[in-house]
Amino acid sequence: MNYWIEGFRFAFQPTNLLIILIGTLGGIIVGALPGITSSMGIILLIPFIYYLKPETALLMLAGMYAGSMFGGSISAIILGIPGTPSAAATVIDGYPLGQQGKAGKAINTAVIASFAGGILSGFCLIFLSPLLANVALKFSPIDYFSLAIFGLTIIASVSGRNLVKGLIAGLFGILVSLVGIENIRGTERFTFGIPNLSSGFELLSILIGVFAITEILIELERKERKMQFIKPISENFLTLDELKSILIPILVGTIIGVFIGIIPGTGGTIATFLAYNELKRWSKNKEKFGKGALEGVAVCESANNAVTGGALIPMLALGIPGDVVTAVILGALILIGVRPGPLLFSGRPDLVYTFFVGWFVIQFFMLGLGFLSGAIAPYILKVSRKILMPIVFILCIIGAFTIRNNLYDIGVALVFGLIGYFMRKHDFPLSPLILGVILGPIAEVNLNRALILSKNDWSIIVKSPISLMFVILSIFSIVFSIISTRREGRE
Amino acid sequence: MSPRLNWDTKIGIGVIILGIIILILTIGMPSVPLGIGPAVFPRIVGFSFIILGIILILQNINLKVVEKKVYSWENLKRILLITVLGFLYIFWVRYIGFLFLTPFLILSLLYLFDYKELVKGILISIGVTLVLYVLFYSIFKVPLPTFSLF
Repeated sequence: MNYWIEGFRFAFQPTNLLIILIGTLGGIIVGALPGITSSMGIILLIPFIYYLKPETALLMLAGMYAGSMFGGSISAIILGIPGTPSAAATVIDGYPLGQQGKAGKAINTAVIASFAGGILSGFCLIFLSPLLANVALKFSPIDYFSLAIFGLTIIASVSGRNLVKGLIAGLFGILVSLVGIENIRGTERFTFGIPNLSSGFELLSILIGVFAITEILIELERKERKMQFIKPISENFLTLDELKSILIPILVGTIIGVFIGIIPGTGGTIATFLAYNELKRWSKNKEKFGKGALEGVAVCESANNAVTGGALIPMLALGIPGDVVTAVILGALILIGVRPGPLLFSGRPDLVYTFFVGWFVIQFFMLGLGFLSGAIAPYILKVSRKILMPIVFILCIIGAFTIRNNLYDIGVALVFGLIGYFMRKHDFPLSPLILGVILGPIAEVNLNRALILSKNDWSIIVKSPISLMFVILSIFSIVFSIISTRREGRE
Repeated sequence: MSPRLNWDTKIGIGVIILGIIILILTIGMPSVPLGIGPAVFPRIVGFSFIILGIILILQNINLKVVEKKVYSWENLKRILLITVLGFLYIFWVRYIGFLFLTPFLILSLLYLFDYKELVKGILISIGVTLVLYVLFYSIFKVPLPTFSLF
């Protein structure tokens, strides 16, 4: 209880409220601008968070995360272009609503649904993450190894039709993590005598490269979109019947969003399409979907904001990101000396509970700002990407520099930006690469420790009940992916 | 008709070569009596690359495939230019400093993004650099590189 009181006290300090407001507003703007993703938004905050208290920094990052997930719906509805990848499904019904002159209703539906998704997933975060952290405290090295393997098998699920490419990307990520001095015995691997390579690659440099610089390079190829006439936003208010009609979709979206968010390596895009398809499948009025159904907007937006709370659960409790945005948040937190994982709950409960309180504050700020966004959206969307992208590039350079005040990290970010660009051009998914970078070392270090402790007894993998559970889940994950891929191939 | 080498096939060959290189580089890594040695995970990655590279090639050996154009020379030039600019910036910023070199980088990037208004571009470049310099160097005390040529 004391921690909750401290959490309230800290979260409601005027400075922190201002920081949360800036993060959330920044997130909505970042999300609304096509070409700038949630990950990029987090990356752009890196130079700033270094000088904040960890609790404040975490709240600012979370505000950016939640705000950008909602913000993507604004351009999805007004322009038919998702502001963030997770808003792609919102276009299906959001844009037709915009064309019918109901952009205001659609945006307000998105606000309400995002708020509800965020709040409900916040409750899941509060109840599940401490439980998971408590369980994780009992994990032995072999359990962590099996968890990492399970996380890596998720690569198969998120790769879709590109299973082989996904696996190659994941293995490439593991390869990248192997560069440098091996953790247990100090052997140098793949350093080629270059001193900078001895320390390997900073996770944040890789993330800046793959998620920010890659996007800038992709944008370089796109022609500037002709500015469409943005219709004045009117017809804002939802009737009581319309409010009632979006309740079930919000619930469906939230449940699916939280569930998908918890699974490492997934994210908003998967959750929103899954939620949309499920709602449509069970709806008695399937024909209205795709033509401007408020329910379509509601289910997508509640799903993608519920993902935020869900993805934070494994990140905070286990140190394993639920999606790519939380992977970037993880990197940013490590930079400022906060190591997410089970020890965070026992070592820094003040930070955890301040964050829990702040999470709900973020949702209320998002609600208020979201209702205002209909008025300011046309101005946000007029910003030319020709000016924006160079500025974002410089901010990425500064962000990479601030990791260790080292120009080498900027070079790493540039190289991975190029790698990410070529991967995107050839349909290699990027999430598996990041999963490989993060989970590869966890798998290797913990397998080593487990075998040293057990004196090379490999049967401990199945002797430990927790490890056995993850092994079974891993097998299911692979089998399910193979069956899904074959079924899609036949279709 | 001979098989066409589409991009995925070429990538498959590249992945196999990478796998072989990794395996060669692990020769000489010490083995250990307890636990797994430093060569184990790299070798798993190397062997897996070879297998997956072969699968990728087999999936794409198709005599009738019509591949869509992935790159255009115009876009590749821009990508190359932005990369070269980035590395030149990293090299020279140590000597010329953030404050003096960044406006040139921003102006070059504006040009690459087809922003053709030169006067406005110069003003934007200088203005953005000054704002970022004040913000990060003066307020946040980030030790941005300073002029050190002489």
